[in-house]
Amino acid sequence: MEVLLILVLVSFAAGFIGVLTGVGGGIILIPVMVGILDIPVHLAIAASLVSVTANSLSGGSQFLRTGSVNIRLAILMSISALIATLTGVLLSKVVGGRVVTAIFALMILLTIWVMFKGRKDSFVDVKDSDPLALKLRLPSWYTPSTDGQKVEYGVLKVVPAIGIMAFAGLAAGLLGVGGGLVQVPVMDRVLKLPIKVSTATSNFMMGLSAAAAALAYLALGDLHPLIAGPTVVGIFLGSRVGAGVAPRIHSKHLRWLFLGLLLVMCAQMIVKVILWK
Amino acid sequence: MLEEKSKELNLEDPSRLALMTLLTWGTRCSFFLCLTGLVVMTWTAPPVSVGELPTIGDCELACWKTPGAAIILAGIISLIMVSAGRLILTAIMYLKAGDKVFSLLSIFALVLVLSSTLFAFFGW
Repeated sequence: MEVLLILVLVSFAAGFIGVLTGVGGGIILIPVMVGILDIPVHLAIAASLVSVTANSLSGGSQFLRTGSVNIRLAILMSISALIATLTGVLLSKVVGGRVVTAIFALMILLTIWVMFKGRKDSFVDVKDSDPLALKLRLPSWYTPSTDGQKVEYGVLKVVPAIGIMAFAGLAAGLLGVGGGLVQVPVMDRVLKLPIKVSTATSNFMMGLSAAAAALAYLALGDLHPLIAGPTVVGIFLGSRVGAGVAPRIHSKHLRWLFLGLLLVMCAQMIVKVILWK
Repeated sequence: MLEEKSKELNLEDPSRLALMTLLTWGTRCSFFLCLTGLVVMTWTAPPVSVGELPTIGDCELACWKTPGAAIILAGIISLIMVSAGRLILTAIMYLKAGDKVFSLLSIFALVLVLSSTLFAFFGW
């Protein structure tokens, strides 16, 4: 079968499943590209970063309209994430494909752990906010339901969160994944933001880190049109269709199927690291 | 501070409207460019088999000369620029609101995104 068609189909499936499970397309796409299609890992990462940027932008307008994005917080956290992203790109060139593939296998295990633990919504009042958060005017409000009622929330532990966000940036630069797996739990458990705000703010940040890393990979000559073109188109369409059917699908069954799929892909990447040519 | 958010969410604010328009239309145009490039590539470029994928090397300048590849490149660069362009609009938005700190932070984040082009000195 024509390679372009295969890549469009694989990316479509990754975008579709990524939206339904909430982990994004990259964590599925890169193992399939590297483990099954035998595409060099740097090319797969570069293509994945472009699709992460596209996904972040396509959801961004809606998040802005509803007011769920805390733009001030996103910009503040993006500074450390962007510095780490550029470090991650540099690191990926220094350590080589085998180490990157091994770290990716560990990232899949982290994903499985995060999915098993689940999320809890535990935001705090504005009055309990961190003094630095108050000084920077980070506490805000959002509208959780369609009735338009505003709910105020505070922001805690800003400085530790800035440090931890660097890991999300590093993951984007080094592994080509959006970093939402790190960002959303940090916003949820450290900054104590409501889930809806965490997801929207993380989406805003993800687009910046992924764009910086994609530009770096383009400058390095790792962005291949044959891989990146069908990936962007496939993931974009897959995530759109996934978002449309999401309310009608039982996420519990899908979650278990996805966990099984991730375990298989993790094993495949470990085998690839061991038998590295 | 919560009034600040109300200002940010003011749909009449031109910079905020510009931000939403940039995201909506920028993404659509970039996707259209990538799709067009893909169609052109499928029709005109020589087919590549799955077996050839492991031997695909890094993309030197020549690989962008494949039919359709330049359109895909335009789509990709447009996506990256839309993402970075958000920071210009947030910088304007905060400057208008009198918040110089976040305006400068937006510009600094933009400089960081664009500084990734410096990697060209390591590649090609």
